Amino acid sequence: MPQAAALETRHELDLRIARIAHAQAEAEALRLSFRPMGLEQPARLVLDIERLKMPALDQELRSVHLECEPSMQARPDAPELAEWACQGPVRWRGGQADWSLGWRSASDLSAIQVRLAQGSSELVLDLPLVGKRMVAQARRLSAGWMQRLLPQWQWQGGRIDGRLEHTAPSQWRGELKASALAAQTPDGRFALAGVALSGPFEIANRAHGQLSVAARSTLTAGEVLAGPFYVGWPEGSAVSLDLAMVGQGGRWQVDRLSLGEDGFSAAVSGRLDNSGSGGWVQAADIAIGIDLDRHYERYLGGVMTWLGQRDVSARGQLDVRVGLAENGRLTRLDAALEDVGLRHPAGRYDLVGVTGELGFRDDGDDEARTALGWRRLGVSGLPLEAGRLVAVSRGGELVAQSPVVLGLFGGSITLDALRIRPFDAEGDRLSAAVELRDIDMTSLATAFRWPAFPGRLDASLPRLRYSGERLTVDGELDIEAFDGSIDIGALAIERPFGVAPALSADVRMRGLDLQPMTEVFGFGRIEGRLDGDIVGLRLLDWRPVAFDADLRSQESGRRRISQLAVEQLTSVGGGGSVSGLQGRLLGAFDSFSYRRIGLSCRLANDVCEMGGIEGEDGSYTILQGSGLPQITIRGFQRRVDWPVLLGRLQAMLRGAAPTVE
Amino acid sequence: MLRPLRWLLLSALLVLAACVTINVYFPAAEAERAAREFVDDVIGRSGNGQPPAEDENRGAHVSRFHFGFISTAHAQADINIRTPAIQAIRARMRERFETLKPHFESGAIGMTADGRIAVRDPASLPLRERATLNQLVAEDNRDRDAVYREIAVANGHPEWEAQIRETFAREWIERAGAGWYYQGAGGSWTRK
Repeated sequence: MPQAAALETRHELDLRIARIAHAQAEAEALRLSFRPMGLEQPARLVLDIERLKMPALDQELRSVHLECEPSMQARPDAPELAEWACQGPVRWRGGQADWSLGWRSASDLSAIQVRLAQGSSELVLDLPLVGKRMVAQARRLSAGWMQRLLPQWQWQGGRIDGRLEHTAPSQWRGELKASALAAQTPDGRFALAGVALSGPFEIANRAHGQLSVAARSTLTAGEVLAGPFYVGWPEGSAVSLDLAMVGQGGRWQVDRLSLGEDGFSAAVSGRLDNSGSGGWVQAADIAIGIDLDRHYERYLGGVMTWLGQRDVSARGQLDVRVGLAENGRLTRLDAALEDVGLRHPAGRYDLVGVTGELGFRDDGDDEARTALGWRRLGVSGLPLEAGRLVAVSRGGELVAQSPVVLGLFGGSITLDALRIRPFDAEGDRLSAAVELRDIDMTSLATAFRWPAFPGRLDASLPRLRYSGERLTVDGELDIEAFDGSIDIGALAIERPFGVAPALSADVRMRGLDLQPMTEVFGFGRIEGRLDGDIVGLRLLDWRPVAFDADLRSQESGRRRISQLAVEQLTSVGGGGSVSGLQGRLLGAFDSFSYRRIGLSCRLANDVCEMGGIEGEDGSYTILQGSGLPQITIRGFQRRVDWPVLLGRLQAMLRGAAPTVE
Repeated sequence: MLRPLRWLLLSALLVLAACVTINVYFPAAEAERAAREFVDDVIGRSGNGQPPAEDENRGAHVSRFHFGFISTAHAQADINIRTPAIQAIRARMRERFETLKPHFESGAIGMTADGRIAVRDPASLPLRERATLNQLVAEDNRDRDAVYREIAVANGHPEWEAQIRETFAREWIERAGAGWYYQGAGGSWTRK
C-alpha cells in the first residue's frame, strides 16, 4: 500500500510512492507522472523506479525509467471493443537499449496485459483482476534473457518459448520449449550445446523467498560436457529429463536430476552453488544403470579414454550407486554386475562374465560386502580361469575373506590376505601374499613369446604390493627350473599398466642344467651346469636397458660342448676367424670337452662391457677347453654395441647361421 | 683410561681420512643438452624460441660425507635418452604435437612450470573437441611423467626427477612459439 502520496492538480499527475512491497517484487522511490492528451500533444506516461528488487530471480534494477504514450484503440480480437494500450522503451542502469515495456487493458480495466520485449523476444503477462489467473507467456526468449537469470553461466545462444500459469496462491504451472541452447561456466569445464528439449514444469513458493522447481522434459538433441565426461545426443534422440530442486538465485539444492533412455539411466542429487568459493556443481549421490553393450561408447567411452584406456570395449549390465562427501571424496559405492566384460585392445586385460556385487565403504564403521565371480580374467595375455572374490569393505579398504584362486595353465596363482585400498595415495593400494603352484612353464613361455621352456613353475612371494604406480615384491621369487634354481629378488615394476613399464630385479641362477637349456634356445648343445648372477637388471617396455650379468659354468660333472655351440659362442663374443688348420680341426670333431665357460656383460647406455675368465694380459677367455683337442675361445672385444649383440643373439635364436666377422 | 679411547678415535679418523668422497653433481649441462634434443625433436624448430642464455653455473649438486681434507673424485653422469622405449615415447609425442600445436597457438592449452601441459582456456572450442583435447592432454602428461622419471632412474638417481623435470620445463618454454602461454612458478599464465 502506498505509504506517502502527493497529489497535485495541474495539467499533470505526479505521484510519488516511497515503497511498494509484494511477495515477488519490491519497488522503492517510485514516481509516476501522467500528462493527459492535449490539443497538440499525445498523452504521456512516465514511470521512474529508483530501485526494483525481485528476490526470487535474484535481480535488482536501479534507475528504471519507462516512457510511453497511452492511447485508446480497438481490441485486435474484438474490434467493437476498445482497450487502453501503452508501449514504449524501458531503461535501467546497466541495461541494454532495446528493451520495451507496455501494457494493454480493457476499457473497464477487467484485464491487464503487460509486455516486456527485447528485439524479437517477448514476455507477456496476463494479470488477473477478478476471477482470472495470471498467465505469463514467453516467446523467442534469447540467450541474453537467461544471462540475467543465471549470470554465473555464459549463455551463448538458444531460444526459449514457454507458458506459465498461476494455478494456486503459491504455485505456477507451465510448459517450456528450448532449442539450440548453448551455455558454459567461465572456465569452460561445464557446458551445454545445441540442447533441444520440451516439457511441463511447476514452480512453487517456499519460505524465505525460496522457490521449488519440478520439471519433466524430453531432450531431442544436444551435447553436455562435465569435466572429463562428454555425451552427445544426435537429432531425433528421446532422452527423458527429470528435475526437482529448491533454492533461489545462484544456490539450489538438487533433490533429483535424472536423465534416461532405453538402456541407460542416471540420477544425481546434490548442490548447485556459485555464490561462494566452493565448486559450482557438487554431487552428493550418483546412481547409474547402463546396458554396456548399447551405451558404453556414448556415456563412458570419453572418460575411459581420458583415463588412458582408449578403444576399450565393454558388455553386460552395470548398475552402480555412489555417495560422495562434501569435498568430493568417495564414501560409498554399491555395484551390481551382470555378465560384464571389459577388453583392452592391446590385450592388457580381458575380463569375461563378471557377475555379482561389489561394495565399498569409507564412511565411519559402515560395512559392505562383495561377492564377485568371473568366467575368465585375462591379464597381460595370461588366461586366468574362473574364480571368485568374497570381501568385506570398511574404512576405505576391501579385505578378501578367503584366498582368491586363479587357475592358469594347469596350475594356479593364489592370492592370500588380499587387501585393496583403492584411494590410498601414499600407502599400498593393493597387497597380497602370492603363491604360484604347478604352472606349466611351456605354456607360460609361449604366452610371453619366449622359447618353449620345459618344466613346471612353483614359487611363493611372501608379499606383493602395489603402491603409487609401482608393483613391488617383498622377498624373493624362487623358481625351480632346469633342475636348478632361479631366485629373483628386489623385483619391482613401475607403471605396470601404464606408459613404458619399467622392471628392475636381481637374478641369481644356480646349478641350471645347460643341456635342456641350450636345446631350448637352439644354441647347439652344452652339457654342464650354469651359475649366474644378473645384478641391477632393468627392462624398459620389457626390453633390457641395463644389467650386470656374470655367467659361469660349474667346475664339476660332465662338461662337453658341441661344434655348433662353439661357433655360436664365438660369434657372441665378437666373432673370430677360424681358418686354415684350426678350421679343419674344428670341423672334424662333433663335440669337445671344456673346463670352464665364463661370460660377463655389463650393459649401460647401449654398450655392453664384456668379460669372461679374466686373463693377466687384459684379455679374457670365454671357453677354456680340456683334453684333446683343446678348444679355447678368447675374447678381445671389450665394448660391444648392445643393439648389435642383441641382433646376433636374436639371429641365433631364430636359427640363422652366425656371421663370423 | 681415556688414552686408549683417544687412540681409537684418532685411528678411526685416520681411516676415514683415507676414504674418498664422491661428489655426485647433477649434470646440468648434459641434462639441458638431452632435454633440448628431445624438445627440438617433438616441437620441431617451428617455435620462435630465443636461444638459451649461456649460464655456466646452473647445476645443483649433491654431496655426501664431505670432510674438508679428504680427496674428492668427480662422478660425471651421462644423461642418456636413447633407449627404444624413450624413442617410442618421443615419436608418439612428436606425432601428437601436430594435433596439439593449433591449440597452443589459440591459447586453449599452455605449458606448466613442472614440464607438463594443461588446458587453459577451452571456452572457444566446440564441446566434442574440448573432450578430445582433455584426453590428449592427459595422454601427453602421462608420457611426459614417464620420460622424466625414467631418465632419472636410468641414470641411477631417482631423486633427480624433480631437477630433470625443471630442466625440461625450461626447454619446453624456450622452444614455445610466439603467442603461446606458459605458467610461471606462481601459477599465473604469461603469453610469450
